[in-house]
Amino acid sequence: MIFLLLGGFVLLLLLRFPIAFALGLSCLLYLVVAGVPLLVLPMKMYSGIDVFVLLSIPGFILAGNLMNQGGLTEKIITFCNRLVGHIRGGLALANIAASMLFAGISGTAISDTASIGSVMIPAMKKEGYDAPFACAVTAASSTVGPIIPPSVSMIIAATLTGLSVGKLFLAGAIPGLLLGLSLMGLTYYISRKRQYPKHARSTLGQIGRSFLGTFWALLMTVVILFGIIGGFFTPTEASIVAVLYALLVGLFVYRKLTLKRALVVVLDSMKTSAALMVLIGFANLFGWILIVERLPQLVSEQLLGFTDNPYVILLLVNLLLIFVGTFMETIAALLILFPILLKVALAVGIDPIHFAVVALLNLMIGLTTPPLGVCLFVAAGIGKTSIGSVARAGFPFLLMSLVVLALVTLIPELSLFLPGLFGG
Amino acid sequence: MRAGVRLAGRVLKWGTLLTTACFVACILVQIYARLFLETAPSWTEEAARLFFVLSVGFAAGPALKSDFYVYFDFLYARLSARGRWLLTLVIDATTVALFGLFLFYALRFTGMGLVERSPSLKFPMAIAFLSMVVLGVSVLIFAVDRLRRHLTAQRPPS
Repeated sequence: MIFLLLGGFVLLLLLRFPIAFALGLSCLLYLVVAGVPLLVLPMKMYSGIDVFVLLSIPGFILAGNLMNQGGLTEKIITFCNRLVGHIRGGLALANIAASMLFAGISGTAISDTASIGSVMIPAMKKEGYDAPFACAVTAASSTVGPIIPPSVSMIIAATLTGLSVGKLFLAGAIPGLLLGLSLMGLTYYISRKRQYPKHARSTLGQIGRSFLGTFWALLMTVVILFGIIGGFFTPTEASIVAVLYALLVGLFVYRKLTLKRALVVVLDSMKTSAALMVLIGFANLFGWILIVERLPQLVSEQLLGFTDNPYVILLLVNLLLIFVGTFMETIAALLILFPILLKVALAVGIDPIHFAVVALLNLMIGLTTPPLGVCLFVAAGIGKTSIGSVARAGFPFLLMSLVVLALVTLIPELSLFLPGLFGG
Repeated sequence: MRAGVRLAGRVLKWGTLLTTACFVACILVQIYARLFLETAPSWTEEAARLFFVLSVGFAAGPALKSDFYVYFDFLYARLSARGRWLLTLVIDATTVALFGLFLFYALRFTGMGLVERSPSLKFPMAIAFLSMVVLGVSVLIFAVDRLRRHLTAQRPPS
């Protein structure tokens, strides 16, 4: 029976069914064959989305989109370019730095690739960078976003397991910065070797002026993080404060947002959120069936029967999640696999916060792993170049990401230091 | 049919905006009460959740119309024009079937909520469960419209 569910899901996924509907249809097939009343279809959908912390997802998406209406992407890129543009390969470095700053605003890797890539890839090509390299840098750097808080994926991981959203946000900060800085180091090395261009050094005044352009956006991340960590807001409240803040900044500071435009942004953000919630709702049903079929126990017993060494378990989980991450959307993969694998991790004494960061990092790396990494496709599409050449150019970045993954896996303190410091 | 879909689109759009405004307002009240009042009201979370599930219901259909559901485009690109046409037909028809069934059972689910009361606001849970009917109707309208447009469009040669 379980093969009917899993096989049906994979088949429908390959046939280009939307992931949410592939989940729903495979569940429906299972329910019909197993003779389970179909009433569980709306029941599990409802219970999957009627969760208070999930309200933060449309909040963060909406706040990010409202901010972007003020031309935030361009402002962040300008600021980063002023900051590091004078170094060899400056525009490529600015690309990565912009992803790290943009991370606090958008929270998803694919939207980072699309929004930063649409500005940076053409600009890099114009300056003489190879198109595949420009695409590869953009794709690799966009995976930093969902690790650095706030992150939609982390909210979902927390919702699934009852972990603290605030602690998860803090846990992602050091690994995210480590990944970003490692990618910058590698980019600098490649840029020196290939003699990629550099700009004239910006004056302090120019840096200051461009900083002012991004200040309000960066302040939003600070308000969100310190609001949650300081106990002033719950994550959901913080997301709505961010919406209000973004609306005020868009209307009165950037002055590019009109009320009519704001309504369009709200509608688009809610469509994005609704598509995500339908996915979460069907995944809730899918997860329920897996539990009924005792799959988590089965996987747990098999893995623990093979080894109880936490490092071997982490290695196996890494391999599985990178593989899954290459062809499955991050949130869908997280919804299906994270609760199952967390059970195994807990059984061998791995800290759940550390495990969540490792799992998320894996899924992010999967997004840039050939042949199917989604971010590679998005970047190649913007750069109008072949996916094969982008995958080849991205290989060193993939290796660097794997090195960071190994460090984060083997050194739990990288994830646990900040939650320990602030959260007790 | 087209006029009906346009009208439904407008209703769903304003439904989405209104319910979103309501859940944002509820959370703002919660924040204000927690920061500035001695006791925070207990109904804000429940009301925010109610408006949120309703907003998801309203927006789920327009999300289908605007292609916001993520899919994995791998085999599709390798098919012939005829193959793509057929596969799209299967996807659209299956989506209609899935949400048709969903709607049928959502109505029964809502009926079950008539006897239950919400913990804080004490409204019948059928009101909250109605969000699943809204979701079913919302997606079904645009799924049927997609299927209709697909069937009436010019077919590729076999």
